Amino acid sequence: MTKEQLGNLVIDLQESLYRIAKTVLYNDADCMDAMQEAIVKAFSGLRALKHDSYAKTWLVRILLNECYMIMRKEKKLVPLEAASEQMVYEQKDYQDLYTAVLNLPEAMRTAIVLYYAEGFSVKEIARIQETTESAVKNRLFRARSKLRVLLDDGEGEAK
Amino acid sequence: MRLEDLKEQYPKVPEDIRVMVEDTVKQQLKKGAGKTEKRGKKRGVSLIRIIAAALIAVMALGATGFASVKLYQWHIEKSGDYGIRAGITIDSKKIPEEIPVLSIKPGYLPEGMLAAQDGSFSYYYAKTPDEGGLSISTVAMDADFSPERLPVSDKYVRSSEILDIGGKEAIFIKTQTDEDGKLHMDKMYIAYPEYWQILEIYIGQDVTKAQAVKVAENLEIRDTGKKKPLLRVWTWSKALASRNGRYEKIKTTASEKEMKNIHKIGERFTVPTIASAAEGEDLPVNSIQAKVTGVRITEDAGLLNSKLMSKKLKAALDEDGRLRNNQIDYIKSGNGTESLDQTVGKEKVRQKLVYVTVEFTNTGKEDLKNVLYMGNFEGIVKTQTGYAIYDRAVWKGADGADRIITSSLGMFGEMDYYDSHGGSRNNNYIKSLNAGESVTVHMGKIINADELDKMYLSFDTAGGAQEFTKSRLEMGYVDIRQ
Repeated sequence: MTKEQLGNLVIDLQESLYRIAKTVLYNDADCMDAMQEAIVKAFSGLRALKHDSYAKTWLVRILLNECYMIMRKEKKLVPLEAASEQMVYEQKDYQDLYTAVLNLPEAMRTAIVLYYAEGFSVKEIARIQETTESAVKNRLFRARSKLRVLLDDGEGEAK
Repeated sequence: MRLEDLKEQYPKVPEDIRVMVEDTVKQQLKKGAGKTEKRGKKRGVSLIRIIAAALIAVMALGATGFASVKLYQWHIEKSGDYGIRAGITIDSKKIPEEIPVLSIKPGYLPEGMLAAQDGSFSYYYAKTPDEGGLSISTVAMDADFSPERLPVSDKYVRSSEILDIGGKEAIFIKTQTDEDGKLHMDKMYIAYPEYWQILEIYIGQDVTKAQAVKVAENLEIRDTGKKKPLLRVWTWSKALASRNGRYEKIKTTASEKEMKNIHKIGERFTVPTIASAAEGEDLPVNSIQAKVTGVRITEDAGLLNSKLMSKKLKAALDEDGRLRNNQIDYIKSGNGTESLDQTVGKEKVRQKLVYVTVEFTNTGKEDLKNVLYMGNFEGIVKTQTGYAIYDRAVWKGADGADRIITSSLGMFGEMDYYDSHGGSRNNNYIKSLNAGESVTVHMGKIINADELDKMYLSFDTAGGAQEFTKSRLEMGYVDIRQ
């Protein structure tokens, strides 16, 4: 992959990258730091990308590592109810599902967002989260169960 | 519940992040794999705090502050002697969905002041790029909060006054921003209701009120003709909502069982960290082992490489390269509404340089590059029930002191000096560590002389100070008490 191709990929994926950073960090300033650091690292480490087809997975993994670095550095608590409050004012038309997802434990909500919002396969998520496919399936299962409780869903099964 | 709808429910990329992404990509394409100009450090005070203070200051004017803005009605409630609670009601039907994009240019800057290279409206003196200076920003006057729902509140407000800035009313306020109340931070707020925005100017210690006023008077503000949706700009309601962030409760005690991993000098143990097996990509590694091979205590910093010393470390030394004394002020915190912070005690203590030699070994089968390492000094004392983090303010302070301010570096925390630099940030990284190879590095920390009997060393790379964390307890501490 050339640098120009990577640049286009980053631009194309910026909505996805933002959603993923937002899933882990909530705060836009932290999201911006993580995204910028990830972009710089992706460019500087482009030679490490062996197959172009893995580029998106590779980029997301770099971004998540940056998010985790920020979490560790700042000792940020995943603000459960605070996050819900925050969303009320952050977007006028906030949605229940989004808020409920943000109330999940980090590993679960990241898996859910990567699978449902970003369309990664279980195998790809396992590579991104540096875990096994079984663990990802387990996270998705548990996340769906928790969401059902959080949303008190009376409209049927989660897909 | 349709999880497929999740994507649509996320907020869209804010405009400032979109701009950052595009700029960063452009810079990378232009510069190749070289350095990118990063956004500046978060300066002085957080935007959130500035915004909150802006609201408070505006409210201090009374309901006349925005008399020209018929859409707004301020509600003010004083809270104690130094606090204010307030809110604002806006006729939401009349709020525009898009606001003008403004061009802001300073027509005057104090001599020697430079513009930050990060694209922000920040200005600073070359000698103090991380401190003081001026920062200017705009906040949209949106309507997502009210006094009933989310009252604005702030503390430590010392004074406020109304100024005339080129025919516009501005608020100039001082707040107690340092722990002992000696320093004041100045802030100025100028309303531009015709653009639905408030201009905020944060004024550091190195800028006088007269200079700040002159900067404000000479600002060239112009409507670019472009517009941005309210959802894409920084607004008061977003800022206030961000204040709801919470932080983990800090663990300051540990049981004997939790502190079972205490290592002796010369003992080798595993240090989980981050490194790259190939160029570029950082990955967690568990194959690095550390061994403290030497600890030296001295007042002479002559053994440190001056090229690797930070400005703060250099400032801790006198002309002969020996450590200065550390002035410690003991502070009793006020609640910010009825009382401000007070200095309740002072003392001067001698400082020592603790110079540690550490051998890192790659016990894995893979050659590694850019191996992150860190050293943290922690003050730990034995208690009847186990161990506790040493808090000088509480253990040595009197009259209810709950924190200290030091004039120098003498306190527990991360190392002040590393002699091996590398990685993308060119700091505490070992550039390469091949399988089976060992590398010796040196680290230094300035410690108060009367605390040498409490110091433990941790190599946890997760950061943090003055707390027991899971990763630190699992990795263990090196007992280097003297």
